[in-house]
Amino acid sequence: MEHKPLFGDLIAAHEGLAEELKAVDVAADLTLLLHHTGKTRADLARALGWSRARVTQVLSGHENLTVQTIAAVTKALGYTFDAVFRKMGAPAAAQPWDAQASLALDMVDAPDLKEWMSRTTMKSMAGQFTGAMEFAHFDMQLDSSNHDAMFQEVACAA
Amino acid sequence: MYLLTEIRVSDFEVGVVSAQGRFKVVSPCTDAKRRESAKVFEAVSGMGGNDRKQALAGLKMLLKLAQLGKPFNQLADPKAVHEAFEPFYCELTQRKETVWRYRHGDIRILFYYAADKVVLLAHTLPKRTDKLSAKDTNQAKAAVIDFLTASRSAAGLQWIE
Repeated sequence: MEHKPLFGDLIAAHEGLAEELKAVDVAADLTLLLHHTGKTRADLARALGWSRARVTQVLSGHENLTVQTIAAVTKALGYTFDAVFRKMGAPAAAQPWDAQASLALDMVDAPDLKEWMSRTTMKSMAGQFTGAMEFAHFDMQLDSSNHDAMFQEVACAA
Repeated sequence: MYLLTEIRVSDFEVGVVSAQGRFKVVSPCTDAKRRESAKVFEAVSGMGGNDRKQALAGLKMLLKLAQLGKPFNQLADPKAVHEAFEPFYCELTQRKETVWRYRHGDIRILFYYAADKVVLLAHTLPKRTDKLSAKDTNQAKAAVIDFLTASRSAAGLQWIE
C-alpha cells in the first residue's frame, strides 16, 4: 500500500536535504554492490590504490561523491552504471542484488528445493546471478527434469 | 496495546519499493491513527536543524542497508555499527540481549534484532561524547523489554500501516 512519506515534510523543510539524501542513496548502493560482489573494503582499497579510510569515507554517505569516484568504485567491482531517470513517484529501477535477495527469500520455505538447487543448479549458476538475466520462455516450468533448459536460456541471453 | 509501524525507504521518497527479504525496521508508536506518533519520528522532529538532517541521513542509510536482509555489521564499517553497550540480562527471555548502535556523524541510532527479521529502533539521539549516558542506555533497554513483553502478550503487537 502506497502511503505518504513519513519524513517527507521534514525533508522538504530543509533546503537541499533531498539532494543530500540522494548522496546517501549512492553511498548505500555502492556498499550493497560491494557486498553483492563478495569483495571486502580492503579488496576495494587495494584495487583502487586507496587507503581503508578513503573507502570508509566514500561508503559512509557523508560525502557528495563525484561521478568519477562512483565510476572508479563500480569499475573496480567489475560493474558500470547508468543514470536512470524516472517520474516522481514511479517505481525505482531494480539493482543487481534485488533479484538475489528475492531468490534467497523464496527458497527459505522450500528446503527440499533449496537442497536440490544447492546440489545441482546453484553451484554452476552462482556466477550467473551477478547481473541482469533474461529468460525468453516464460511459459516453461523449470524443474529437475528439464533444468538443462535453464542453462541453455542463460547462454542465449548472455 | 503495543503499537508499532514499519519505517520504509518510501518514507523518504515516493516510488522506492522495499525489498522482499529486508529487515523490517520498526518504531513503536503512541497513536493507532497516526504514523507520526512513531517514536523515531518524534525524536527526529525534536532535534535541531543540523542534527535532524544527520538523523534523516543516518536513518536513510540504515534503511537502505536493511534492504539486503543481512546484519548491518556485515555491511557497514565496524566503527559505524557495533554493540551499543554490554549485553544485558533480560528476565523475560532469560538470556542476554544485545542492543546495537549505528553511528552517522553525531547521531546514534540504537536498535535491536528481534525475531522474524524485525529490527526495533530502540532510541535515536544526537551524541557528541564517546560514552552513552545511563539515561540513554536505560531508555534503549526499556524499549527492548517493552517490545519483547508485548510480543509475548495475548494482545500482541498492533501494526500501523
